[in-house]
Amino acid sequence: MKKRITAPREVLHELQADYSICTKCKICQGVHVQFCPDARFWRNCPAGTRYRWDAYYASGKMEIARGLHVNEIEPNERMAHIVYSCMLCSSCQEQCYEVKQLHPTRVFELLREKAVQDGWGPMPEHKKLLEAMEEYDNPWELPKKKRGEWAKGLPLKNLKKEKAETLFFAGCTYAADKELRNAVRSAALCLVEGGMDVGTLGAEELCCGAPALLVGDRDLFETFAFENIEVFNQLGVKTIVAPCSHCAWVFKEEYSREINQEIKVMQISEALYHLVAKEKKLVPEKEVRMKAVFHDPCKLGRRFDLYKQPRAVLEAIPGLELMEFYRATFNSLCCGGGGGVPYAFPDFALWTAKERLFEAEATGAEAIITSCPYCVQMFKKAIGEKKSEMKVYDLAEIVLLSLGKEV
Amino acid sequence: MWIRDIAKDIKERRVSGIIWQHEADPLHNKKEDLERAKELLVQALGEEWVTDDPTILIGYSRDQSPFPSHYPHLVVMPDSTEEVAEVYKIANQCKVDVIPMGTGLTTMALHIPMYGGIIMDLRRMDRILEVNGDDLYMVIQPGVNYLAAQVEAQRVKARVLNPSTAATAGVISNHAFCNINTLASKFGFGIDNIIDVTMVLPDGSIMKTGPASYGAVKAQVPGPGPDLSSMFRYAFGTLGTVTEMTLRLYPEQEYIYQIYPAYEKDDLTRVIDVLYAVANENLTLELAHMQNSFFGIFVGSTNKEACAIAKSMPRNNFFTIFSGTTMEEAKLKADLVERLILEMEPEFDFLPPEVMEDLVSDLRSANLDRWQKYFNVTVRVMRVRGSFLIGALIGHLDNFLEVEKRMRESTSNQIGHTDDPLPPDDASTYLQPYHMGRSAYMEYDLYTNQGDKDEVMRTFPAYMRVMMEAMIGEGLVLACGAIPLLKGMPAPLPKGLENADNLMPLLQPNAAVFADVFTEVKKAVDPNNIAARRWDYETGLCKKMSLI
Amino acid sequence: MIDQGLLKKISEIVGPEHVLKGKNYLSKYFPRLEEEPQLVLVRPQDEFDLSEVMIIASENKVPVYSVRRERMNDDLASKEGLLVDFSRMDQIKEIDRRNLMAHIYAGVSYETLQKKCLEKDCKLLLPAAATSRSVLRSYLDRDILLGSGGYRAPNLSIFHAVLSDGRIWVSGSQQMTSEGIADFREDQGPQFSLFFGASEDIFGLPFYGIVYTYPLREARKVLLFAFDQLEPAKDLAYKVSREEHCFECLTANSRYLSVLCSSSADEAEKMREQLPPWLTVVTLEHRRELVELWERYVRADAENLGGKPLEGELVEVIDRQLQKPWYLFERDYFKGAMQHIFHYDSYKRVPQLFSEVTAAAQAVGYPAEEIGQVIIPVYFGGAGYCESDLYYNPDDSEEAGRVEKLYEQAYRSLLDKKTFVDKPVGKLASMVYGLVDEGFLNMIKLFKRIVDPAGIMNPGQLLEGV
Repeated sequence: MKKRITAPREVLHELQADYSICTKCKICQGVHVQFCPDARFWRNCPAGTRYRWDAYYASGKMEIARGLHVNEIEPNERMAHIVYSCMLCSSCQEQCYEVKQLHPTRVFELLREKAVQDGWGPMPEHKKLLEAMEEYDNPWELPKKKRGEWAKGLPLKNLKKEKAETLFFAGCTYAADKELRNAVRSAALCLVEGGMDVGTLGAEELCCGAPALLVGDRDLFETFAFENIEVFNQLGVKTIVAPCSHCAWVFKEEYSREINQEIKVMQISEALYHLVAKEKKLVPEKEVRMKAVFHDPCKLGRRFDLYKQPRAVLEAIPGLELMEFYRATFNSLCCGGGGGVPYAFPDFALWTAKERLFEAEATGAEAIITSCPYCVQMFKKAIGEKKSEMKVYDLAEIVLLSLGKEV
Repeated sequence: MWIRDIAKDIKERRVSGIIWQHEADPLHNKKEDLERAKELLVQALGEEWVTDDPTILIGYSRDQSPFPSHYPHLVVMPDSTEEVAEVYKIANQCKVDVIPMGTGLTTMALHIPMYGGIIMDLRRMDRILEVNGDDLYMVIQPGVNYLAAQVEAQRVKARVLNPSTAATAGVISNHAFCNINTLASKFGFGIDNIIDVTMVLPDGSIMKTGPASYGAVKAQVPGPGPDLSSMFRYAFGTLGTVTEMTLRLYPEQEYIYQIYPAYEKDDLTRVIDVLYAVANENLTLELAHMQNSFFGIFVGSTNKEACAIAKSMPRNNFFTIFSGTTMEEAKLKADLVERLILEMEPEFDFLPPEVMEDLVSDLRSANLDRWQKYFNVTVRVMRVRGSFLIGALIGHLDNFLEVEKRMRESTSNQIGHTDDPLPPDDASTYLQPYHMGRSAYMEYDLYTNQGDKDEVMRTFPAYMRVMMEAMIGEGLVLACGAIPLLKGMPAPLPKGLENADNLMPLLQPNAAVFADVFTEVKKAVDPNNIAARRWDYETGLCKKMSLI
Repeated sequence: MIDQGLLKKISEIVGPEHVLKGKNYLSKYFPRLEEEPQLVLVRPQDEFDLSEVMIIASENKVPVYSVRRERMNDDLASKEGLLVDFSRMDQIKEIDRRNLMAHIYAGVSYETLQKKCLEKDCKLLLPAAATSRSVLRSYLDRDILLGSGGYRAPNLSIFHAVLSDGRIWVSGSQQMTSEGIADFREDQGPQFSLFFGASEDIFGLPFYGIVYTYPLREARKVLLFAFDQLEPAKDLAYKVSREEHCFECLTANSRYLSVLCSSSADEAEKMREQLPPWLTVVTLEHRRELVELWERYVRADAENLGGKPLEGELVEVIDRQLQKPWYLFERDYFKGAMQHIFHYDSYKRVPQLFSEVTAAAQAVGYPAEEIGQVIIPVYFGGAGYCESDLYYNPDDSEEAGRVEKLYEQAYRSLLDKKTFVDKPVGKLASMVYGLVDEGFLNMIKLFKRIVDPAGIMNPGQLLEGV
């Protein structure tokens, strides 16, 4: 059993002003009105769209938070379903915050924390992930000795043994899923090709804790955060680059108070943006002929406004025709992989991914490019299910292709 | 003691929150009847679409009004006209109330179930069944919102009139209510744009009107014979539910041009004269008068944007958009109107478009081109402080001069005034000419924060006072239909006035005739009084008064 | 036979000279009357008279009919009951230029009101196919208006009607406020007042109303374009209406226009020779500069469609005609009588539907080239009002029979094609209401039962049994 720590934290009722003020205007249910070119694609809340009842939309969940606060309702199975079928994609907050300065996503995160605290969450499937995190230091039951296998043969330093300026934090999903291996290796290689001094934690890399935080187990998350922060602060690195948008999210948003302020955290698309578009240390020369759409991972775009960076990288790729989803950038629809939903409700997650795939097909694109392991996984599943011709790439894979390199 | 145990302890000590409802009705919504209704509804709609789970019910318990939560007993989601009819039939059989809900965006507690019963959520019926750009109509179901409808209309070079509400508002339910829009001077609102409807009456029978009555082409005109298509307007579900509507579309010209007439003085005297003249010209595609905070709300997409725009704008502004098949035409129309305004009142200013461009250049969503051409829609009115109280009146433009003064005076006396453009206790006026200025809509808004009970307590009496001033003092009418407000809507009436039709004959004898007929129709189509039941109809007083 | 005592009571209310019986008085409404009519003509002076008459009729269960057209259906004359004529209620209460409204009684004619409006710097939209001279009647019955190309609003704001028990039904905002405060057309609850339109007065007798007027404009231009074929001619009308470049707009064939613009059969024949097969009329009204710009656009559109611009005297003739209300009964002069077939449909389908009428004409032996036809755009060309006029000699029973057959056959065929027919009466009412949704008819019947429980208000006039 890991040592649990208790950290100062927000609790649900601190957001009372948010959930009490929600007046069900429903703008959280759709995209921004001025950016909806097709009536087929106005909806933006996967759970609300799939399950229809108002309680599944942000407005309903805000009301659930209020109801719990004033003891109007008691938690039950349906409530757990509602709270855990939310993908925490933040589309609702994107619309609502602009207009009313409310924070629905934060309310839902804290609702999950309350669920865990009060014992009606997370979902049984999530509990398995958490148990795996406790036992294996990652949710995918990847034995420690295999953790660093993904980097085999790559010119990367082992930061436990030698110094490097940049920590490449692969993350559990990239490390565990062999289908993502090309993507993670491409990412690391791109950094090296760009002249960066890159090292990894090899087998010593721990989970960032994001899966625990997503399902509301902040205690467990804090445990991982505590250990990671200690390691990062001792490494003497200047930069941490995470190919996984979830790792980057927790590093930037949750670890930032405790992490050395000199350390800069970047998601891979930011790093590639610097190398390709800004500093031009990487010059994509080889044509990559395809019509592609960029899918904005929720944790990348809505959390950190990283919209133009990946696009700037793709625009630099010769031969690549960059198209846009009908719902793009801050209007982007979740891939279905968010909020731990694929583990508790795989059918619903796949349904969402298929919706997004349908949209990609409607644009006439041949490929979806993204920058998040969950998005890639979800699209691959949806493509398999629909027997679609669509291709899926990680951003780094495309960059490496255009550099004429292979992993 | 663990934290969770402390929480449990506290919870047990607290007076448990109760699902707040009106006192139980002796005839309707009885426990055993609800159980039977649920069984029958599950058989009719399938288990997935019927629920009495409190976690789902709570989603339907509140809206933008300051009303406390009221839970329905059941929520159902029918998917077709036939299923809606089934719901009504079962409700009649079991004596359970039914309140239809379009997209559920209301400011007046229209779907809040005061006595419980069934909320009929119509959002599964969200199909746009037909769009015809050549013949300018669209056939929709009640779950269709303005966002989807407008995008579809624009695809065929037409447009739906943009109401002053959020894009997520339901088109059909908006037509049942105000449907005020900035194109009203030219095209009107509400009943002006309905070609036909399919409606389920409270007894479960289906009525088709207009061209739909015999499957004819949607030829823009009502009939055949008596026009029944707007019967549902201002009925608020008391006469049944519209399940399909053919909506009139308007051509969208290729070129749009906007000018920004402004009048700095905080005085409506000349503003109203000029507004009459501009409305008479009928050259504007969109025309409205807006005081600065309204202008901010209309143009900006966020509070920040709204505040920035409101701060920079003069007190009185005209919202004037012109369209044309060429830019030359749109600009000529604008030029003619500009000349007319200056002839009438030289103190009017015209803000250069570049200034407006500059003003919004840093704002993410207030792109003027996009806003004018693409979706200059739907004002996101609910943004300002989370909630607001609307004073919505209809009258001749001239009458609003005095009304506005008195409303402002009342508000200031009641709740004070600050200089911030969008303070919680500020008020702002919006005048919307209707049919070339023959009548007008006046909105007087008090912005308030629903989360702040003290603020609501200060604002609410002011709102009531100014509305009374306007209605009784000036004899104006509410834009939402005064009679249902008194009879049917959960208006903020003191206890004892639930049967508010008693008041009507006192207010106006003409209303008594109308209310009597309304009551008779209601009794005939809804003998069990299950449709959006708010009150008892048969007091008999209207009949007596109407015969005097 | 109506009880004499009852008539005496009514005479006491309205004056004996306004309670009239016999062919002499009733032939004005029933010009082809042969037998002595049973109806008793009553001419109230105001709403108080009217209300009292209704109370008496109601108490005695006497049917009350209203004069709804210049020429009423002959069948009505033989019915027993009162026939209310509003001609004495002809006051113009107010022309409110500021709010562009005229407050009038039911007896006010287009001619009278238009004259008064012009004096006050405003005008009315005039009808293209009215059956009554009464403005209120015509607007209530939703007659097609000549300016519907340019102004698309409904033209009736508020009306007052007497119900069968003598109570006054007041529509719109006046249900809650006094006149002059809002005068807004919408009821203060469910929109029941719209039921009264085109209802053949089965719910109540409208006697007063507020109608819309329009400002006079600085410049006016009348443009005529000749076409050999209907297709491009109606396309031009559609385009100018859709693009909002017209005030009045219509496309008509030579037979229609020649009859419309003449006053004798000879004159009509002569005029027809000078007219093209199809003519599209477009008028432009507004500020001078705008009219000039629109003229440029319309001429270019016409040229693209192959329309030949016509100038000279014909322009003046048409313009003169456009300044007058167009009454259907005024076209009787041509052959003695005229039967019109009208319907609304998509502009795209107009040629096909006109062909249905000509095919029916050929089938019954009526000369198709003698059918006058006109199309008027409504709501920006969202639909077209289509009218086919059948001129005939009513004394020629064979011809009259052919026209009757043609009328029925054409409507049957048009209804098969799902064209939309508004305000059907007589035989057509049975044909249309036979097709409509049961719920729609039930609601009409229900409302009728509520406002007229004894069924004395124009019984059987909308539809037999209602």
